Amino acid sequence: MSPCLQDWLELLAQQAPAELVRVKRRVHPVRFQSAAVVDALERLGRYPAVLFEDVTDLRGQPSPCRILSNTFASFRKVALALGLDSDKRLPLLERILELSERGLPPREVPPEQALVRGWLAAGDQVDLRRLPIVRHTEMDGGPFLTPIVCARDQQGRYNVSWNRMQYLDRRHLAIYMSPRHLWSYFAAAEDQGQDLPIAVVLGHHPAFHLTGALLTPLHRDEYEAAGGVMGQPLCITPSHTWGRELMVPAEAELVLEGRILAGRRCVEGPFGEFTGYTGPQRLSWVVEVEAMYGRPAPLIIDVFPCATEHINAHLPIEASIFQRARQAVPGVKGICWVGSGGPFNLILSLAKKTEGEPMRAAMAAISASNFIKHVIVVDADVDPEDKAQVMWALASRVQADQDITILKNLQGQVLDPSLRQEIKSSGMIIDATRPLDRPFPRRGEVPAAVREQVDLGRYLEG
Amino acid sequence: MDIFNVQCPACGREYYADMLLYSLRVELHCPYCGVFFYREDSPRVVTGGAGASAVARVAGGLGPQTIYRPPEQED
Repeated sequence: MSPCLQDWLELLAQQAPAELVRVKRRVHPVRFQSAAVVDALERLGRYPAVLFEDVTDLRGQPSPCRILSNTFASFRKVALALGLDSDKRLPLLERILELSERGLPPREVPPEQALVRGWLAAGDQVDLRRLPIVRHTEMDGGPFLTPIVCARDQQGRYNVSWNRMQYLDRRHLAIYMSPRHLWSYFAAAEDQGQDLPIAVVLGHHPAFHLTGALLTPLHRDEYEAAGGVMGQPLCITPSHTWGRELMVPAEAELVLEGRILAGRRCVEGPFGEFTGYTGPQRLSWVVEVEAMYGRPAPLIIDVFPCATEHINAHLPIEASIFQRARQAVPGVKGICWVGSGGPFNLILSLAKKTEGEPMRAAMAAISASNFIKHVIVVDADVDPEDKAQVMWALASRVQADQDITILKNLQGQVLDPSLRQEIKSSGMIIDATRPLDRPFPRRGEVPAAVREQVDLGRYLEG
Repeated sequence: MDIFNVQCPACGREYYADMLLYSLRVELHCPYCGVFFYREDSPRVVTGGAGASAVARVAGGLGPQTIYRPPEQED
């Protein structure tokens, strides 16, 4: 068996009990209530996973499902999902890189042994109103799922991606796709007039969900990558609708099988996104659901898209950016994307050996991901996670006419609210490192040898 | 991308949509009351340019009725 969500919850309860709270009171997710609880916790600076044990479905009826929110809202929880006990950024990024490079081929289990096949509704029996689906922000166009979507390309490789999906009716969902791998799978199918079969995973071990944010090359099978990240092969089983033509995760909590329809579109949204803004209503794609099945009391992972947990769920992207920058410039020491002041800002620190390295490292980071728009490069004596230190470097080591480079006509992030065109963006690199080609003042500091010998207690007593 | 503000003809609340939907003949979907409607049926649509300009911001929306037209000069 591959690790599952319930294993992780048990681990969390044992090793970090303060990171999990249970809500036993009945909650109506479609009336914003579960989102409001997560929002209230975030306003208090608290980020525990929240397990809503009594929720209603879209019809207002009690649901056998439960909802888990804030799964990714702290480094500690993400680390525990990856077999690491830490709440620090760099060890976590290194762990993600180590695991994502492994890759383990998936292991097939017959449907009768697949825990996800505990119950089944197919064809006209499918009624998405039986699910508890969350509305998060005021202007959301409807209730939205925040699942992992699995699809197989024409060469038999699997893609695993995070996609928002809006409830439309009993058997239809809207799906929003950025122009990345799933979009390219669908475009290839639609060019041939074919629908794209997908499996929508509504809950699995958090390490499986994190696979959805890995920046893997298009040719890499992401069921294999998921095995690496999970530390054990991903168990998969033939789908109900397409058999071995679409294999689905066997240990998932709940799966919807459906087709992204060729030649059909719908209006979708508005939707509150990771940018912190409610994005506009837009044209999207339509999924027709063929079957839904799951465990007896399935856990649905909901990600509050406008909150910290969504940003943290992007940690695998940050790990990939870190790797690319370090490959370009080995002196890169630190990174801060999440928490750097906005989802499109990145801070890199490096031990600069030659002039030009900051620019090279920054360009590697920008080319690694269309999430990155602005890069500030600081020296290794500045902690990239400490905004005050970064602002000090910006104030004291930057001359705007010399050290700021504007990049035009980049492929941007379509959800960036400042874009004027659909996807074309601009970028900015700020080199806030000290120059090496001329003398530059030193930090004003007490001599280190004296500083280290100071025992404050001896001076301040009485 | 650029967006436009649109008022729902049924509930009167305002939200926004991608400019692509401005030029396509597709029904918009009010996130508040769920009604589908065509942009042309909205009592108020605000795009960039003139619609968003401070001078064009008039209660009830800018339309022919807002524009003062002097009477034709009599000889």
